[in-house]
Amino acid sequence: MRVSHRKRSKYFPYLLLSPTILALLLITIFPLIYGLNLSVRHVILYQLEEGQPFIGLDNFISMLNDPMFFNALNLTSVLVVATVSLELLIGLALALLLNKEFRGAGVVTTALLMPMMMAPIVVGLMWKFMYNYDFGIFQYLLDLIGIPKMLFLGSGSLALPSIIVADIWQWTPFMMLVILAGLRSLPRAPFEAAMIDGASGPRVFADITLPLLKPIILIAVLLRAIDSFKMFDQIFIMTRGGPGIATEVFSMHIYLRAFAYYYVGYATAMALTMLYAVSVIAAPLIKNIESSFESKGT
Amino acid sequence: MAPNAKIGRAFKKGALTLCVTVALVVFLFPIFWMVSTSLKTADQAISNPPVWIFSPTFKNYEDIWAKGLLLPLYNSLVIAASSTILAIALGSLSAYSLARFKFYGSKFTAYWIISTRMAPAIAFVLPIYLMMRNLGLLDTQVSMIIAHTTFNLPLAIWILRGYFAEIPVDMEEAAMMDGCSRMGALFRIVLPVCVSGVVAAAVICFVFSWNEFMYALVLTGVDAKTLPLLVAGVQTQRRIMWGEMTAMGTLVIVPAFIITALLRKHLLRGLAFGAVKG
Amino acid sequence: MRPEATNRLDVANLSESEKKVSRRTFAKYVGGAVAVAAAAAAGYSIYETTKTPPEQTPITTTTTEIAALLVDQPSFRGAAKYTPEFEQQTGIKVNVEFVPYETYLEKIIMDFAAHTGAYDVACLDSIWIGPMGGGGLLEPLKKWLDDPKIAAQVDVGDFLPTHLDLWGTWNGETVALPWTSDVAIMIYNKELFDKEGINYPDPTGQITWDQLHDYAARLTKDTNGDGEIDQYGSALTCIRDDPVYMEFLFRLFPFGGDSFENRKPIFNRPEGVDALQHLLDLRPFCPPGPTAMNWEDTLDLFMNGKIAMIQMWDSLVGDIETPGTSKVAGKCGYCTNPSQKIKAANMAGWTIGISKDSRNKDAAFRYVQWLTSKETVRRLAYEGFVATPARTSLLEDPKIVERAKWLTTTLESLRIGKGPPRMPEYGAFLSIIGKYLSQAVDGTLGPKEALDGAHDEVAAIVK
Repeated sequence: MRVSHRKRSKYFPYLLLSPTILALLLITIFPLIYGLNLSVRHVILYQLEEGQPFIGLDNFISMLNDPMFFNALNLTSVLVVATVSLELLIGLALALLLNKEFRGAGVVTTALLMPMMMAPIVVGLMWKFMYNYDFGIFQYLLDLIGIPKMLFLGSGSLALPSIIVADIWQWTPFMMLVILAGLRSLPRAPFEAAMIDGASGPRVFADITLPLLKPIILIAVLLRAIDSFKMFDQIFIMTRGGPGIATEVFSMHIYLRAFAYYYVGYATAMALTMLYAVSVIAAPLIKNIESSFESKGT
Repeated sequence: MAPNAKIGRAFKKGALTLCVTVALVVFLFPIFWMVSTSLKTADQAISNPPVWIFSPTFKNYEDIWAKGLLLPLYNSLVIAASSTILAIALGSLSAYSLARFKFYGSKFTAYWIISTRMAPAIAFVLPIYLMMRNLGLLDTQVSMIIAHTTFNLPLAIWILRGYFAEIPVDMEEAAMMDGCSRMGALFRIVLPVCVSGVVAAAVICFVFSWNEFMYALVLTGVDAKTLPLLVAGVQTQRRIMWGEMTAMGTLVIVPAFIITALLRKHLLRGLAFGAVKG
Repeated sequence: MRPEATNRLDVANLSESEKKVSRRTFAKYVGGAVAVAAAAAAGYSIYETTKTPPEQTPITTTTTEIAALLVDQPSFRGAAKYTPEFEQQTGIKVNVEFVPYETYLEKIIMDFAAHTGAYDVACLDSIWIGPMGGGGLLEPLKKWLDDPKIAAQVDVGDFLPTHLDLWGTWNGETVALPWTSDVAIMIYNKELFDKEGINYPDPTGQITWDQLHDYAARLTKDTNGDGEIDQYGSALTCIRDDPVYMEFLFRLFPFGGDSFENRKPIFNRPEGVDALQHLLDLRPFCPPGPTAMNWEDTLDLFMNGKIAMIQMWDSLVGDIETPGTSKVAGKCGYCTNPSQKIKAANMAGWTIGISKDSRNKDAAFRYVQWLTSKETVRRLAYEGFVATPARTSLLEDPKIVERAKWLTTTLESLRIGKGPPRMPEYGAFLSIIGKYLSQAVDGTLGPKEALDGAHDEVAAIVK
């Protein structure tokens, strides 16, 4: 029985994975090939099916010569780093807070999940409403503490930070949820052992909680970073890339190139580059996650 | 108990309450503001200074109802629920496989799975539109379910994988020595123990699908229209109908909130068995 | 296999409670999934059965169905309201779908360019004729308009000639019929003028930009003494891309400039720089944050009595005279856009066309014909759905004139009006000029720098 068990389990993992692989392949193969094809041609959106001259790597070269490309890259990096790091810190803090047993913890948790439930479009419109110079509630609140009215989305310097704040508001609950669920699945044994040993709160946190949570935290960071990189809906609604080019992040830039300039080939080349860039940047993070899986066993 | 310890405990409790209150205010205020604005008239909504006390009116909701709320609501529900179920079902199998077994290509497969999420939606929109057109699936729920599952599946796999890996192997080993099959071990041991993780993943997938805009715009028309499109329709050229927007925003959040509230118990149950806790 | 865990379990205990719970949770999962699936199936079947429209059998033997994608706008909403009448008259079923303005072009271009043919009838904003025409995506209407009977009913001569010429024609062929007209006019708050003792300009006349500047300076003040300015002389609607370009264009024409000459960009000539400088000089007298303001934001402020003078598209001004919504209803005056060296106004408009890939072109044309017919547009104008019809006869209709107090101004503006450039590359051009103008307005670039920069980028794209 042992032998057949091992023999069966050799293919077993592949069997489990196969439906997923099949599904994903079917859906993503065509877009990938189509995308690669478009990226090496000069394609105008309204002449989609006719007129697709092959231009080799010209799209990619133009991209690297375009200062707007680097502007978008720069803005996006700022966006991703700011949102993910702050969401992680606040989310972790909240998760630890909610992990304690207190009355109404369940209700509070559900309540705190609400921002994440809102459609990005609604969040964008809602914050636009609150940031409004004339009747936005924030102006009123600023007034209460004696600060004069401020221009948020209309200011070149404050537009991106305003969007960052709205994003943090919306997605911190995501971090909180993932980490909280992780905290709840942690085995009690190491904690009880530490308590018997008389270890203090912060030490327990640093030496036991964090290492155990590491894969969960890293996964949450990875997922959030990927999504933050692709942020589109909120920016489309709140500023459409303005004022000037202050919030023309990557997704917005690609969108404009595709649907305003109609340069679909160029836009696809950029999208592919973005895909490549993200996967390269994410690789060390993913490696980290993999290795922390391997060292699990406590 | 020593008086110092008592004060210490009270202080801790006070600090806890303070933090929770601050968090609640920060995260709930915009939602409160949205809901209250939805009950105001157009004038009150944009008045400065803002109106705190007023007599509520449901006109905004009536207007939306007149615009046709039922169908998008129904579509959104079906699409989100279906893609979530698919993602979790397929995803748990795959996540288990990746979490438990070290087989050739496992690392690469995991990497490839998450990389499908890395491309911006724009890159996918045109080809998927063409695919669905060729299959005759434009403006159907099916096309949306397929499109949504493609981004929910990698998400579910990676989240579930993290939780599955937390479970020590010997639990399943023990069960299998008792005569349980691998799959049995997955269903009877791993999933129940990871309930909070599974529910978390499900909630996240549902929410993503519920709120998705880009594919909805391109792949649907009249039949399969979803709620986010209804919301986007609020930005008419003349002016942003803040009243209708907030009302729609409120309505969109309600089902998601209900589902979360219902699943709350599972979310926080954690490990109720005591077994792994030693 | 994973390394051994350090916990040892009591297997016997585990299996008991485990089995019980796992069966329950398993049942919950499976049961839940089945219940959801069943509910979905039931719901969908209910929807399918109730979806069948309770219509009589049509006159023709086969039910022709066409689909129209329209922008969510009062004029088209009105058209949709009366479409069932068209359906009854002709037996053609029309599926009307609405999409917001911002996302309309994407959706329709993808459908047309990919030759999907899901939509037969589309509405076009003036600036979209370039890509749609340039891409050969619209069906020429000649074959129907050549038929004398149809031509008589349509009465092509009744359409505003410039309108038909600029936005309904491409390469000499008529590809779309005019629907409504959009002209930018100046609206001012009579009360605020009275307080300052400024004379009203004539409805068919105007003030100059320099005069506007002076008036705006006088009209910008702190009216309630709290140290903050709460009344502004004018407004700058300078969000990217279309509004900021339009604000520039409002001034470019009167200053004697234009955007292109034979497809060569000329907006950075001295007259262009002067025009832009004049715009920038107006900033202190306009609400802050112009680069975030869109037409609706400016309208909101004007309707709240906060601004004295604005330039606005006449299709959007309906609300201004509605007492419930606007605080300045009945207190507004109208005149054409300010002049400077010459008198000029800005026009735009909507037209309606047919997809080249439509599978029911005849039916589609009949719908377009019905939409743009005098009867339909007249009725929509009477009921307030349409502000400015694109038909000369209707612009002289007394009932319409009475309703639209700004119509005299509109007519004069149409006489002196000019439109935005017509070219397939319009999208790219707008993106570029929008970017540079926006940076000029928010102070990042000087006016000459901005226009020169735009000139260079545009020249590279438009050859």
